[in-house]
Amino acid sequence: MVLLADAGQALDVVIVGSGAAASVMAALLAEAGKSVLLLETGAERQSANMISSQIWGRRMKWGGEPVLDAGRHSVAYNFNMGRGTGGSAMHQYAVWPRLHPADFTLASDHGVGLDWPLAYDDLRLHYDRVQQEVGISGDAAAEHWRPEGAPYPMGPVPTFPQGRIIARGFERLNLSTSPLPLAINSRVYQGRAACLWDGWCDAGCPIGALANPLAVYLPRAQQAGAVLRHNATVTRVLTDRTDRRALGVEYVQANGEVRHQSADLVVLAANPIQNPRILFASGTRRSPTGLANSSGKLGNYLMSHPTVSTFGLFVEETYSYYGPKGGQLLCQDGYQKDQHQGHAFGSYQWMIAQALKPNDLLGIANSRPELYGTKLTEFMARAAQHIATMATVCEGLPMQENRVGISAKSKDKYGMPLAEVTHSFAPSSLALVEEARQEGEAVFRAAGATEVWSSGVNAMHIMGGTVMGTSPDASVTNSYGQTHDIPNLVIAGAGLFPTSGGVNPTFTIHALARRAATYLLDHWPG
Amino acid sequence: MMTNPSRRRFIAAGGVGLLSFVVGDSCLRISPAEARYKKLPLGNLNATQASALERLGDALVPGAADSGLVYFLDQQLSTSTEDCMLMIRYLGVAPPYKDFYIQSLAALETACLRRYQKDSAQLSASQVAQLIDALLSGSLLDWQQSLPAAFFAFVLRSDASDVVYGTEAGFDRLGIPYMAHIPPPAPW
Ligand SMILES: Cc1cc2nc3c(=O)[nH]c(=O)nc-3n(C[C@H](O)[C@H](O)[C@H](O)COP(=O)(O)OP(=O)(O)OC[C@H]3O[C@@H](n4cnc5c(N)ncnc54)[C@H](O)[C@@H]3O)c2cc1C
Ligand code: SF4
Repeated sequence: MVLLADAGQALDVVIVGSGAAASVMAALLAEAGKSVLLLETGAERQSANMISSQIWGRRMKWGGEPVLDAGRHSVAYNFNMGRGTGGSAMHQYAVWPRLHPADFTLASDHGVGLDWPLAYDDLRLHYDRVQQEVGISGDAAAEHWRPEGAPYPMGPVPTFPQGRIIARGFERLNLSTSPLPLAINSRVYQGRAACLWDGWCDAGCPIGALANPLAVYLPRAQQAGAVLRHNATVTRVLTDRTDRRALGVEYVQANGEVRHQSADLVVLAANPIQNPRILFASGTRRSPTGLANSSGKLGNYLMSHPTVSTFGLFVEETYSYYGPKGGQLLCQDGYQKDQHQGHAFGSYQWMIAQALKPNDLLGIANSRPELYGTKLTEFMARAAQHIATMATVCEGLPMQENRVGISAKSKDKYGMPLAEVTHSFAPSSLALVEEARQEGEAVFRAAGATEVWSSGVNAMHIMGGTVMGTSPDASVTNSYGQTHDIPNLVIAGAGLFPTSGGVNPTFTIHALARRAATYLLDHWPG
Repeated sequence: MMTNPSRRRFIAAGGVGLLSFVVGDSCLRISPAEARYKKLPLGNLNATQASALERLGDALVPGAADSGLVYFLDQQLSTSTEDCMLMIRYLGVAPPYKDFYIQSLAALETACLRRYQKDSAQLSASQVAQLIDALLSGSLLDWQQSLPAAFFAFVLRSDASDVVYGTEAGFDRLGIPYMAHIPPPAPW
C-alpha cells in the first residue's frame, strides 16, 4: 500500500457512506454552504443500472468484506445491507411508518431495554419536514394508531385484489387495516414520476417514484456542491493527540492507495456494523478499546426485527404481482407492548399484500422450500395466480450482549480486522413473533384461504451498536449523534437507535439525520 | 383495471434471451437450451460437476437443465463477489462461492457412491428423488461438509428457480406479466 499525503484541502465535512443517513446529512450541510465530501466503499450506481430482475437486483447487496456471524440468530448482514451509491436504501421497499411515543421510553415504562435521549415530540417536526421533502403516500386518518403529525402529502397506494382479500380476514377478526405509508409517489410529486405498481422495488426503482438516495437527497447534495467519491473505503478516523478531536479520516482507494482527508466534522454513516468496526479499528494507545468508547458500550445493543411471513392460497385470483414490494396495507393493532399472551413483549405491525415475484429468497418458490419436482411445478402454476402474503415487523429488544466486535484473527485485504457479530433474539421477542405468526395464519383462514403456511423466523433490518443516550457512561453518542468523547465525530443511521420499535427504521433514520444536521449547523463543532 | 398494458413490455411466448459464447474466433449468440445441446465449453465446472448439477437441478425444479442452469452457475462463478448474481452471495457463505459448489458436489458424489455405488448422473429418477429427500431432511450419511446438505439443496433449488421462473420467459410460462422498467440484457 502507498500512503499519500492528503492531496485535497481540509473540508468542513467528510461523510462516510452514501446511504440513507449520509445523503440527508450531505444535502442539508452542503445546502447550508459547507464543503462536503462523501466517501463510499462501493461502486457507482445510476438509475440505468437498476435492471428489473430479482437476479440482477442482487448486485445491490453488500458483497464487500465478510462479517463474521455468531449467536443463535444471524442478523443476515449480507441480505439486510447494501453497498454502492445509496447503500441499502437503494433497494429498500420504502415502508415508512413513524416510531410511536412509547418506543422512546421503553426502560422508564417497562423496566426493560433502554430509553432514548429524546422524545417523539423532539422528532415530530423532522418527520413532518422529511415527509414533505420526499413525499409519502398514505392515509393518516385511517391509521388510528398513528402518532401526532402532519397528514401525508399524497393519497395512498391503491388496494389491489391481494390487499382486499387479506383485509377481509382482518375485518372478520375485528382487526383494522389502513393504507401502508410508503415513501413512494402515488402521483407525480415534485417532478418525480408516479409509481407503476410493478413490484420491482427490490431491484431498485429506476424511475424516481421511490424515495431512494438517488431520487431525493444525493442530487440535492451534489447540486449544492457536495462531492461523492466511490470505491473509497474508510479504514480509520484520525484524531489529535488527545483523542478528543477528530481530524479527518483515512481511506483506501480501489488501486490500494491510502489517503487522508482532513475535515472539521467527521460523520460516520456507514451502517450499524461498519461504524463500530471503523471505531474499533481507529483505537490508539490512548483509546485501546476503540475510539469514542470510554463508555465501553461501543458495539453493544445490536438489534434486528424478528419477522415471519404468512402465505396462503385463495380461490380467487390475487394478482399478487401488482403493487409495491413493501405491501399495500398496514395493521398496527399489535403495537401495545405489554398486551400479549404469555411472556411475549413488544410492538409489532403487519405489512399486508407484498408484491411477489416467482424466484429469490422472498419469492413464491422459496415460500415452500420443501416442494420439488412436479409438486413444485404444480404449486407454481397455482400460486402464480392465487397466492397472497404479508409480513410482520416485530420489536427486537435491546440486549447489551448482542454486539459488534472485531476479529482478533481475520482481516480484510487492507489489513482491517473483520467485524464479528453476536446476536440472539430475546425470548420475549421470539414469543412475540410466534404470537404474530399465529395471528397471521388466523387472519388468512378468516379471509378464506384454502391453504395457509408461514415462513421461519428471520431477521429484518439492523439497528443499534452505537446507541445514543443521555449518559456518557451508558451510551456512545448524545441525541444528535455526536459521540460523547469527540464532539466533532458524529454517527448517523440506525446504529443510534436505543430501541427498535415495531416499525421499519428508514423514516426515523431520515428524521434523526435531519435533526442532527440542523443542530450541527447552529452549534458547529469545527 | 390495474395497469395499462401499452406501458408494459409483455414478452411473446417462447421468446428467450440469447447467450454470448466465444468459440475459437467467433462469437455465438444462442439460447441456453442450444448451448446445452451443443455442449459448449464451461469455464469453472468440469463435465462430471456439470452433469451432477443438471441432474439434481432439473429434478428439483423441472426445466432447469434446458433453461441453462449449468451455464448460469458457470458464468456467475467467474464474477467478482460484488458483481455476483447468485443468491448465495447473501446467505452468509464466505466467498469464493466456487468452493462452496465444488465441495458440495464432491460431497454429493461421495454420498452417492456410498449409497448407490454409482455417481449422481447415473441414478434412476426414483433414486434421485430418494437422494433429494435425504438431502432435504439432512439424513444423507457421509455428508462431509461444514454446511448442511439441506442448505446445499436449498441453494441449488433457488438457483434452478432463478433460471426457470425468474426470467422473462419464466414469468411468461406462469402467465404473469414481467413489467420491466429496464429488462435484463441476458436470459437471466
Ligand atoms: C431488501 C431491503 C428492504 C428494505 N425495506 C425497507 C423498508 O421498506 N422500510 C425501511 O424503513 N427500511 C427498509 N430497509 C432498510 C433500509 O435500507 C436501511 O434502514 C437504511 O438504508 C439504512 O440507512 P444507513 O444510511 O444507515 O445505511 P445504508 O443505506 O446501508 O448506507 C451505508 C453506506 O455506507 C457504505 N459503507 C460501509 N462501510 C464503509 C466504509 N468503510 N467506507 C465507506 N463507505 C462505507 C455502504 O456501502 C453504504 O453505501 C430495507 C433494506 C433492505 C436490504
Ligand atoms: S413498484 Fe413503484 S416504486 Fe416499486 S419499482 Fe415499481 S415503480 Fe418503482
